[in-house]
Amino acid sequence: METLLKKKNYKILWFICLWSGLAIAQNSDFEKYKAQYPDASVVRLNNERNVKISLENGRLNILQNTREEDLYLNASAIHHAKKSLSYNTFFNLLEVKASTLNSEESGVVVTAVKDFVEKDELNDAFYDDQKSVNFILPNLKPGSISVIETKEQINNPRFLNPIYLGDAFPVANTRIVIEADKDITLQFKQFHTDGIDVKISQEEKRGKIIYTIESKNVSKFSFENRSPNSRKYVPHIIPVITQYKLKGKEVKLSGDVSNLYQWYFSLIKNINTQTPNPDLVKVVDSLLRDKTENIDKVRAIYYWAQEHIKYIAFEYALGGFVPRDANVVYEKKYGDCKDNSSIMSEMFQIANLPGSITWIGTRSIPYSYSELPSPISDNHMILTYTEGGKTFFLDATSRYHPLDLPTSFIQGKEALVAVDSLHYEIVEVPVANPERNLWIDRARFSIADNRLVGKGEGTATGYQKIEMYYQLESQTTSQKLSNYYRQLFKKGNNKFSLSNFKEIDKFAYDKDFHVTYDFTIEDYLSSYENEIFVNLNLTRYMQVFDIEKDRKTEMEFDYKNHNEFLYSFDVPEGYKVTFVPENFSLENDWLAVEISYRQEGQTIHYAHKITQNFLSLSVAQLQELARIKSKVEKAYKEVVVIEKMN
Amino acid sequence: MQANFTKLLILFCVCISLSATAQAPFYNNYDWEENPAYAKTKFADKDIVGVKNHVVSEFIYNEAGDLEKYFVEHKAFWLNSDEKIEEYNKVYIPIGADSEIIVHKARVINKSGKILVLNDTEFLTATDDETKQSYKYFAFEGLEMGSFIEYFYVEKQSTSYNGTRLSLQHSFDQHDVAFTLLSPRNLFFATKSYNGLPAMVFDTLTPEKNSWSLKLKSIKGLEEEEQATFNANKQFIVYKLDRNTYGNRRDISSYGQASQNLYNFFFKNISEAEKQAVSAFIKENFDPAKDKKSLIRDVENHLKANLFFTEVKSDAHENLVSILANKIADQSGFIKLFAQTFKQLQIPMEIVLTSDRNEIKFDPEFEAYNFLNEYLLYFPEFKSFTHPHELEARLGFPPYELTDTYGLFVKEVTVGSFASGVGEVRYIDAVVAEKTTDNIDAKIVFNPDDLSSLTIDYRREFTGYSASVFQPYLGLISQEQKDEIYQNILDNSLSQNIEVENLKIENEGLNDFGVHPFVLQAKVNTDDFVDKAGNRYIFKIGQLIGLQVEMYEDKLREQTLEADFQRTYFRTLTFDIPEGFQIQNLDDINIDESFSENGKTLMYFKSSYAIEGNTVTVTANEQYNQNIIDLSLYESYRKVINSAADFNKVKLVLTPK
Repeated sequence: METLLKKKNYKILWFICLWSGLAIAQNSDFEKYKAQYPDASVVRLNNERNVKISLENGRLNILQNTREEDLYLNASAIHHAKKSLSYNTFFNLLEVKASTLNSEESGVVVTAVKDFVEKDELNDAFYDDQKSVNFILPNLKPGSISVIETKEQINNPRFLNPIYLGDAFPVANTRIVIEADKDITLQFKQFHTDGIDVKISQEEKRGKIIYTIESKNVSKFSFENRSPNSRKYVPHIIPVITQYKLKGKEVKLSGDVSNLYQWYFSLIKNINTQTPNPDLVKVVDSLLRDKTENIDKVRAIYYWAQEHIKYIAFEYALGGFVPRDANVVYEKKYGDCKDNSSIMSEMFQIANLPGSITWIGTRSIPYSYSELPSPISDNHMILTYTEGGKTFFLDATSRYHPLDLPTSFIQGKEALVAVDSLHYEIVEVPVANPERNLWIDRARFSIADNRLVGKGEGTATGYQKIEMYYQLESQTTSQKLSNYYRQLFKKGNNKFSLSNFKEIDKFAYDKDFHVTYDFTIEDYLSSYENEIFVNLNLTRYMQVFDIEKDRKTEMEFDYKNHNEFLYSFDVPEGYKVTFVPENFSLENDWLAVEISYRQEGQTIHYAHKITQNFLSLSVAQLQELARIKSKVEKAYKEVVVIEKMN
Repeated sequence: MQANFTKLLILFCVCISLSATAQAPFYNNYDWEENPAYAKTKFADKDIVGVKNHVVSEFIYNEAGDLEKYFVEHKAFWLNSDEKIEEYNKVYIPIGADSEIIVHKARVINKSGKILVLNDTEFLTATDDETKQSYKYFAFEGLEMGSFIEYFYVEKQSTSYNGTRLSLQHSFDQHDVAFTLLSPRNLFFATKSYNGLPAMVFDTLTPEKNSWSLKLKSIKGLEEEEQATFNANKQFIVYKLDRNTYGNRRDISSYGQASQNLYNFFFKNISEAEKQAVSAFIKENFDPAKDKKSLIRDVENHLKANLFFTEVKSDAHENLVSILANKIADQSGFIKLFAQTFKQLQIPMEIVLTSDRNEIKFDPEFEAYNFLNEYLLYFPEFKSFTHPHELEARLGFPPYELTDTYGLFVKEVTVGSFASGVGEVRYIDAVVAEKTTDNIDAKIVFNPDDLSSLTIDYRREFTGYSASVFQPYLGLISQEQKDEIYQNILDNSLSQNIEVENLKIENEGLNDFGVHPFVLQAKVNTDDFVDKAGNRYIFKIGQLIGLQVEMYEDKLREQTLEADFQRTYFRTLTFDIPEGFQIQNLDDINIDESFSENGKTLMYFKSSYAIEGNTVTVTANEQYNQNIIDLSLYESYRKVINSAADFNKVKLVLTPK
């Protein structure tokens, strides 16, 4: 039903606006914001949240009202019509209201949404409690304003919503009011708010403390290919309830890491209390047979878990935090990170090895435990094992990980390692050196029938090997497999043809992976009279760095690595080498590139080596990378000349 | 979509019921074998094998005399790789609106023969009130390499009998495949098998029910091939109710009645309020005095710019009054609004129902509603199609996967004051190659100070399907996003290493697609196209047309190749040979490959050059006038495709005079 408010009824409209707490934008705002943000499709005029935290019957009761007003600036307005709000057990959506406001000649026309439809969200997790409320905003066009209001209950005081001051669109006003009983202590952790107009104030009223956070005119943020998670650069404030007083006693919630650890420990202390399944004991016994060193036993158990427990995620309520019993995981042969940690922990027990349940945030989470001692700081669980002062990080959700190599997405992160009910340790996961992650393509070739013809061998180690193994798993027919290797080893041009490939130590955890192959390249050579021109830059590796010229955010990479392309060109009989390009090399703290030529008799040895010693590059570094790339690409154009001898 | 359509059609057929005594449904006694025979079979060198695929579809009268449908699907697989285990360890059974799962069972049989049956509590349900679709889903437990998984369920489905497709082939080999169709004595189904699948056989030995069946020891897997319509090529069966001996009704699932129902819904059963709303809408937005083609475009552009398309089911999304008030419509709503608008504007429009040719080929010989999946609008005066709500489709350019196939055309026929709907199956011609172009005009200048550096005056022009992936959206996105697209076009067709001096774009408006070509013009500096060998230069002229699709690998082709659309590429590259230099291998440019049939050139690539004074003009033109390339034409097609890829490798050697 459309509500038409004539101009003479403006008071009524005004009343409605007051009632909902805000005045709607005027027509002039449309022009103003269009001029202010020419590149935006939407401006969030107001982002309001009102949170009330009180102690009721010894429990923290948290209710929040939100209101979002968006102004649509261009022809894409209609495509923003579909909205979806998600909720779950911890975060209960009690009420939703939505409407579209349009300024017409007759006045402001308000059209309210009538149909709100629920959905179970089948996301990445197999079993979770994620649901959504869905609706379509009517009548959207340039100049429309949409208003969405919600009433929510937060059922776990450790999960107050972070307050994002910026978004993918400009945010004109943010105003967050948090009203808490005096006995409840709150802290506000600020991230990336430098240069943002933000005010946090506090006042006491009728026994309550009222915190107000306000910010204005925050420009839109870009989300680009390989951008870091928004937590790493979009300004936000995380409110944390550190403690509260109950009947004169302090209850610590998230004041420091030990508060967090105590809660975490309470969630794991009751797992694996039953006698282990005899079959699981048998598995452990068979794995330990012939092994005397603890490290070998650890390795055997870790690899067994990687291979036998398939990953299926469960995030139903506290199920997102509590591991399931090892016996259950063993029966089901599947589980998520917690379940993998649980079964490995139990297998360690059976084997009489010390293993520790460990919480960790993946690289998408930038917070350290000390700055934010809250479950928001992590999202993952592993098992750690320490021997001779060296800690191993066992993450069995993946496959093909040797014992010394943690999963790439936890490199450099803090791990919260359980010691006992009271004690924990924080250990940093190391970042693997470039040399641990090699890709080497060796080839030796000559010219026959105007084609390059030769043999090659590829070698992969570390994360490069693991990545290949995963890709190889889906090359299930001989056609797919040969196509995969053709693409992998492709050099020169797309008339590269590969045959007789042989895989050595495929899917091995601890050995390097090798592939040998034969190849030909047609239509690659150029010739003129007695001369043949051969460009030995058959693999132009630097082309992987295709960086947008006006990149705005830093770029993240999965791992450091080192690559070598070592090609030996046997100059055909009767020819002599008349020109060999100069060597090229370039190096800084995070990148080294080298192209070299060495003539040895009738053979020219070419080497192209690239070391990437970074996990992320800032915008300035990316610009430097683009400059380096263009220098290397110039060097790629240099050609070897051979000439037929009379 | 199909469900929605079925709803439109179902109205006429409810009274097929026969007051017969209710019989026991087949599934009552259905179960798996306690110790299945397949578990003893050995399979070497495979990652997955289907060991059982039994389907039963039963139509049966309940005690009230209403027809019901029960569907049993029973499958078992042998899994022998981590990848397949991870792909198959979770099963999601989609349950349509008005359907329910009444029995479900699942188990794992391990290599050692141990059987693990899934508990009832392990079956989960998810619902989606928007699509009215729900899922029963579960995860197999205790899976290891070499395990068998087995599950079956019985679903009480909505009783649609006018055409159902059942696909029986997978990408891997299967053993023990069977399909049984059961119905009451008075109902006779017609079935048809496709892609080499044997026909179903009527079983004369089952006296109390009609029974058709197909039993196969095995079905070989169909491997996916590039540019082949995998889903359409799989072996499948279509079954439909054909006769009801009670009342002696024949051709029950023919398109005659379907056409009439569609006509009634879109043209006839329109309320006065709806008609008035449409009339006001026309008055406010369009000029009926315009020529008809412009008017069609105006209406289409207006609806696609101002209406939100939704798949959410709601009466409001089909009612013209509320659509025009709220600017939200579903597919039927869009079609109805088009139909009523053009009816009032007196522009003839037909509604076409067809199928995505990648999914199933519309069979003009076997009328069944499962071929009626996708809608097009057809304007006979201009012999042009469009799609009711796809932004990428505009008059003359319907989604290409819905062309080059048959369709059911439904139109209004008026005799005196009596109007009715008439349907006819006709071919939806592909849009001709001349209307989809991707042309390059490049003038190349060697930098006199450094011949390895070039300045290129580059003009690229796209029309038709070559432009449809981006041109219709340009009016909706920010300058920043547009610049990114333009940069991408240049990066992909020239090189990442270019400096763009001066970029000019034509026709990036909301309504340019299908009418005006998208044109990108730029002055580009680059040193990516010339290699240096001492005092000689190697000019990689072929790379100026961009990397080309290649089919160099000698693969054994098994399925018909299908391109998306017919297309044309015209390129002209001009340059002056630098002073003091000569080129002796200009003849490397000449490539000429074509294929003709019955005097008609079906495809060609031809490159050549002309030299006048010092100026060389190279042309490289290419055209494909046929989408569906039969195996017998494959080699010729491959040669033409590879000729373009060969041209891409042409290098001219510049040597000092």
